[in-house]
Amino acid sequence: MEHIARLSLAATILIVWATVHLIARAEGQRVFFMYIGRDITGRDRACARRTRIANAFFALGGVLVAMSSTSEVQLALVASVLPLVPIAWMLVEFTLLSRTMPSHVPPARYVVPLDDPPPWHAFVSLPLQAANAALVLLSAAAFWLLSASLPRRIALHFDLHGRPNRWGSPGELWVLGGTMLFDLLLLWFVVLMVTKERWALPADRRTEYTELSMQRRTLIVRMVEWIMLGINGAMAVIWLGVTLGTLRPAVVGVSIGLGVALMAVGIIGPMLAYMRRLSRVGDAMRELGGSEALGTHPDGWRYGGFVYYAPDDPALFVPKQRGIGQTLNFARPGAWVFLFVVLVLPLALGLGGVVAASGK
Amino acid sequence: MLAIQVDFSSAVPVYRQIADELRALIAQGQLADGAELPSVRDLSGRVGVNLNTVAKAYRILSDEGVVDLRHGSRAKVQVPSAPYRRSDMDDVERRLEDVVSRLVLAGASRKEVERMVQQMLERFFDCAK
Repeated sequence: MEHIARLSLAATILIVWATVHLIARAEGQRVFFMYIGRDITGRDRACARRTRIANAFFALGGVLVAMSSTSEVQLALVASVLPLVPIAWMLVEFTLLSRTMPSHVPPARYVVPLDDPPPWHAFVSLPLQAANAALVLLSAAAFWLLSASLPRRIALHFDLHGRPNRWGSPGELWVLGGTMLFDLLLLWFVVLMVTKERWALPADRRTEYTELSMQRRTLIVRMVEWIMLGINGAMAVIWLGVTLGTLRPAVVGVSIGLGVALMAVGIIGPMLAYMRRLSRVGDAMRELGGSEALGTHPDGWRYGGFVYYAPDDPALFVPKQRGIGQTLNFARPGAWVFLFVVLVLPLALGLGGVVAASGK
Repeated sequence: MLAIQVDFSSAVPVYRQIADELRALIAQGQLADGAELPSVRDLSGRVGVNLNTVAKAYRILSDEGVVDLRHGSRAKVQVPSAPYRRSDMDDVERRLEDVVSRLVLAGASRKEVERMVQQMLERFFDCAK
């Protein structure tokens, strides 16, 4: 068990390493897949190379500590802080780099079609959606069938050495199913957000641009569909593995190891497959006189084009000006409510839980 | 593709641009008599502007008699059946004169202005009816 816990921690560190390694690139007019508005230079390449080296250094250090340290405090520190270091490094590198980027705003002139836009289902893959929903339903059904044969009190949490340190009812394991359902809801949220994005076209070559815009939205939705399928597949393995583990303890370690590996493949694989294609589509949109952020107010982009604040724009989510995906319109009160719900509330609940647990 | 264009860098206010674009679509026959326009909320979301901006554009068109605004229902196109009044023509002449003055000051030749006007007339009279 101890061995599996260490391996899971090492695997998590390696997932972060692979993700940052994949993103830390300088190609064409993009650094870290962010559009910089000029051709890359040796300085940009050095910035990407530095990030990859630092990332490898921290990952190697993390894996060594994870596999050899005997101190639980040291391990907890590695698990919670180390994965954030390469990401913070990348942010600092990019912030320093942003000073060298020419100011870039989306074109102020655009065309808005009055015909009805394509419906949301034009962008989704029905087999992937069905597979995602079936995974949640089948896992829930399997857990429900298994839970009938479980004892009334089971081990719910283990220390580093595999000794149970919290017991409770099997019903508490439904929380893992809840996580899967949350992933599914998150997927639908992304689908709605991307497909309801404003349709804005440049004045010329509208048909070609519409096709590119369709491609961009479809690629984002497809990438998230695959990522969620990978994450939910991993969650299903862990959920059912932990449940079976109450009857056969050896299964717990194997299922957690398998789940973490599946999650790694599920996150990194789709990113590898779609990020570069999305960059190419974004570049093609620029060549036609548009940009991913066409349809947003040029005056609304602040702080080098990373923050959007446009009181007259009714949209809550808008496409990023330099990156891939969406950002919030901070002039809308809904943006702050959204940030509170997704960032502050979970953090407060988590900290509350830690304080409550330490007080016992 | 039925579409309207906005330009945030233009000196012309956005509500005026929306009204001008819709008027042109009506004049070209692309928005037929009785056609429903998008609701104010829908169009403001599509264009990315405040509700009041679209409402103001619709009011301009309603005052000109090319859009029928009724409380509780969608705005509808109504092509005016009566000929333009003399006072309307005076206003149009003034605006045309302004456009030609700008073109001349920008260095356009007589032939270029004629070609531009010709192309525009073809666009309107070939599309309409």
